[in-house]
Amino acid sequence: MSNDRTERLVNLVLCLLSSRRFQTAGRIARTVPGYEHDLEDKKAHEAFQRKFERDKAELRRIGIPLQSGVDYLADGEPGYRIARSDFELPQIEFTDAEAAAVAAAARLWQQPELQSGSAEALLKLRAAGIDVESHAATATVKSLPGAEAALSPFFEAIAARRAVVFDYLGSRDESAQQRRIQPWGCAAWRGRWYVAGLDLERNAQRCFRLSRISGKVRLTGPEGAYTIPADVDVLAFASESEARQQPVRATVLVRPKRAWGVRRRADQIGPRTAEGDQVCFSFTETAPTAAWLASFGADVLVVDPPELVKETVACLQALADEEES
Amino acid sequence: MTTNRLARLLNLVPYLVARPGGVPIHEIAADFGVDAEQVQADLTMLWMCGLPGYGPGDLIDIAFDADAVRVLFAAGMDRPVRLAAHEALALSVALRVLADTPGVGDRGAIASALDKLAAAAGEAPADVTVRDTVTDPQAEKYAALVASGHAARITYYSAHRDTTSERVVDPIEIVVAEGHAYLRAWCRTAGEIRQFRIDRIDACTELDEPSEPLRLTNQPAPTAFLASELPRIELLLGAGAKGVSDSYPCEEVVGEPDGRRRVVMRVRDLDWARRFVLGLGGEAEVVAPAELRESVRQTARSALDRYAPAA
Repeated sequence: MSNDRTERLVNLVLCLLSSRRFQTAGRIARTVPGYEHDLEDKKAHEAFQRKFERDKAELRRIGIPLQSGVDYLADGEPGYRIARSDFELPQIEFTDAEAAAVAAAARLWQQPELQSGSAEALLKLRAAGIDVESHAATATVKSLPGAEAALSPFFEAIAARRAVVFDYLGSRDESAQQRRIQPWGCAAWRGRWYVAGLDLERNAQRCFRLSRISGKVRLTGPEGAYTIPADVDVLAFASESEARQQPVRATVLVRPKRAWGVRRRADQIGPRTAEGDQVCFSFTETAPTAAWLASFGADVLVVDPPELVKETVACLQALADEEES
Repeated sequence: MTTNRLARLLNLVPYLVARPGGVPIHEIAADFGVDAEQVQADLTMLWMCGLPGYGPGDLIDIAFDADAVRVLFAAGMDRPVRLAAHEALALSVALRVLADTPGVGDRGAIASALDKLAAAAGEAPADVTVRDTVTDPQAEKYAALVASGHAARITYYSAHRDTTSERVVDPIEIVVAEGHAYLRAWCRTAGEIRQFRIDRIDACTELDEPSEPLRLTNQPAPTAFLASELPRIELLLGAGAKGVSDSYPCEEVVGEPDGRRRVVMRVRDLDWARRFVLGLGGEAEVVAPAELRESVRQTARSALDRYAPAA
């Protein structure tokens, strides 16, 4: 932003804050440095109006809402003001421990939009006289919630009640499918982010894992396009969508003193057979489990269930035939 | 830290109002994430702003000497602007993640900070639930180990090597990702920083010597120069394995016309690479080296031979 514009905007804020009355655009043009022009010159006035619209939008973007209304002294011409109660950060005080928690929270995000959001919030808190240490010693625990890139567009869409479009690779999909949903809310469960909402193609409630979204999440359609049903429990959606997969028991034969990874996962080892130790464990997703078992090569022979045997053999065939492809 | 200059100017005045004793310029610069020259430029601009009339008594008045900056007249800007919805959300969601992560410490403080932020935000931020971020009950114990500042001897199961080994590590921090907790530490055996998944640490003894991860010094890790001498592998990744290029450092990532992804990466040794490729379930094709392609194929063939009698 140019110096002139920054200066003009600071003056605009101070001017609108200084009076409780609505100030007409004409009055603002006459008062605030940077807006002065010949009000009779139609072209110049139109240029001013465009400039003023852009400035209002910029203020709204950084969290300063302009109220518009009519002042009884101003002949019915609408004007603008900034209500101090909308503008000012309410009195807020943090204990040292709270300030430390806020500083640690601000460092959590890796994703640029969320990072700058928390950086700007920290500046405001510092401006309120709170000493939030930005260079404090690193916390001993660092959380890296994955799939953050998709989070901020969802937050934005939910706040504006707008629909979103994205490509999604469901657990049963061969390739990513485009989904159009009205998002209701986000939740993190077991370190993964989920969004729940109304799937507009299927006209049904659905829950999506953010890490399975490929590419960008785009906002689409008008604001305020829907209302979020009362008492939506995204967390319940998330745990339910994961729980639908009932664990299955697997039986494999493991060569003696080999495939420690499989043994570690076992809830039952033995008896020993000619082909190896019989090992049993539970699993929910066939494809990743088969890929994992295949990685042990000939040290592991999958016995049961049949679909796990089939999938593991398919993995091995793909790996064995690789040279020919 | 990227922030908007206008937002910074609007924060600078109340920031000084809240600190009537004055603030040294370098401290302002550090708090606002800019350099001292930028702070000077910002103060100079604020001098030219003020209330309608714009006479000497209407303009913002700031005094500064060698020691400190003070505001004398704030032109009505005594308080910072309210938190915008996206700002309050970014902070409050992060606080919820922290509150749900074991070993972070003062949960009471996190909860009360959340309440205060909610009250200070212009509008109620979206309700975001965070639960069971870490399912490993041991995470707290290792957070305490990091806090103790001591080195430790651990017995660790490496999934990529399928072996268990003992090593001495200098803990750095606990990292949480996708529901698992990891101990990030300098591994004295490997001579580099490693991440140990906590549920794969079979035993841990805290040692009586301080944790001194090399990371804390500016010296490059002794093995760093070897990176270019590590084996280089080239893979073609299908749809199911594309995540590899996000999770492992790659020297090159190229999209292929058939939708696959060609990646070049350095690996510790080819046996590690063999297990790694096998574990991708046929979604990765080895382009180079031929030796790796052959060992993957051989392993898969010998495994298939075991299924042959039944088929």
